[in-house]
Amino acid sequence: MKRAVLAFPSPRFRLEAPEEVLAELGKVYPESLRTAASESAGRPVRATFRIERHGAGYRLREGDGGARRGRTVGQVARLVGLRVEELLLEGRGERVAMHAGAVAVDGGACLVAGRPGAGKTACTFQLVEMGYEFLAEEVALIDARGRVEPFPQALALSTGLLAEHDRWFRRRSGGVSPAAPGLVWYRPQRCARRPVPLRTILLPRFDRTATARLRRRPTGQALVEVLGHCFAPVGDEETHFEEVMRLVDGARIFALDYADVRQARALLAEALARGWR
Amino acid sequence: MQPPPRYVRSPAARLKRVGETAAVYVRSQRALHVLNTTAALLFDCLERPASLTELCARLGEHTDADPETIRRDLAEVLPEFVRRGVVDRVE
Repeated sequence: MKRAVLAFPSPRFRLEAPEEVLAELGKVYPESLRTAASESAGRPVRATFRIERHGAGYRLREGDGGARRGRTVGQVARLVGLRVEELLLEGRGERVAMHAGAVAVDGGACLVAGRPGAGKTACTFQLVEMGYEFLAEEVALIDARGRVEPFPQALALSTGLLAEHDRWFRRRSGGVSPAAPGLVWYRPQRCARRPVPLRTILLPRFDRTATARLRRRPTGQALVEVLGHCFAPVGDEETHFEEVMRLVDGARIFALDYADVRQARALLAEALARGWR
Repeated sequence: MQPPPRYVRSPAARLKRVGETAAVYVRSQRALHVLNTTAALLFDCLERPASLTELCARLGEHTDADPETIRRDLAEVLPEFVRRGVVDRVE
């Protein structure tokens, strides 16, 4: 067993796991997984995960709680990842949590929000490949000052998406390693380290029959859609709605319809070259 | 003869304005409804109970639309507001 710490800017998690599990988690959280020795003692941790070999697979325990089982290294790493995400959401306090990817573009955060299959990951991946700093994937937390918090991790890409990208573009960012059949971990080369003020919200819609276009959405029209991508608030719902209204009002909102990654990238590049105008 | 129904803002509904966006939050239904300019104006006019005729007159002071159009639009939108808990119907 080896000891390590998952040190996101906040929160932090302690890990005890066999070497191969830590190696797998290192692919998912390349920026955040550190050896226990490199971490200063006494810093508070949100939870402790203990992973042991058990029969032909692995057993995950959190604190003194019950065990969950994974048959493979990848499965048990995924269980840790899901639990980290849950704990991140549970401990978010008054922060707005959105089901979105996020990148930092010229000092402002761009959220990529959408329902599953809409192209959140694909567009976040394209923006990272275009040279922008990665902020978050799947869960984006926005603090009371309207800043998107960094949550560095690898993006889980389908091999199909990666192949489609590589057909048109030379990959310039970080490495890729296998995650599961049909899935790879893609490591962003550049990750933002500090919260970045929210400036843009991108609402992608991937559809093989779509006519590619990027259009500005009026705040009122987009508000309900954006609210639909937020996780239910921990605190008062009315305050949450007000907070989301404030965020939406202060951001430029764009709907992106696209049928393939080449179109998405071309439209994004054009909009970014014009400063999203 | 029965008096015409009167309408008033639901105490559970609160108007939120941020920038140019107006929305009403209905606590009892845990819902947020975005309002366009006319709907926001109507919500303002419903601070005190009013009949359809009185509302037409109040809205007419703020819009250029002809009274018949206002009445027709209100007849459509008021039941929807009631259904969504934004407005109460008082007999």
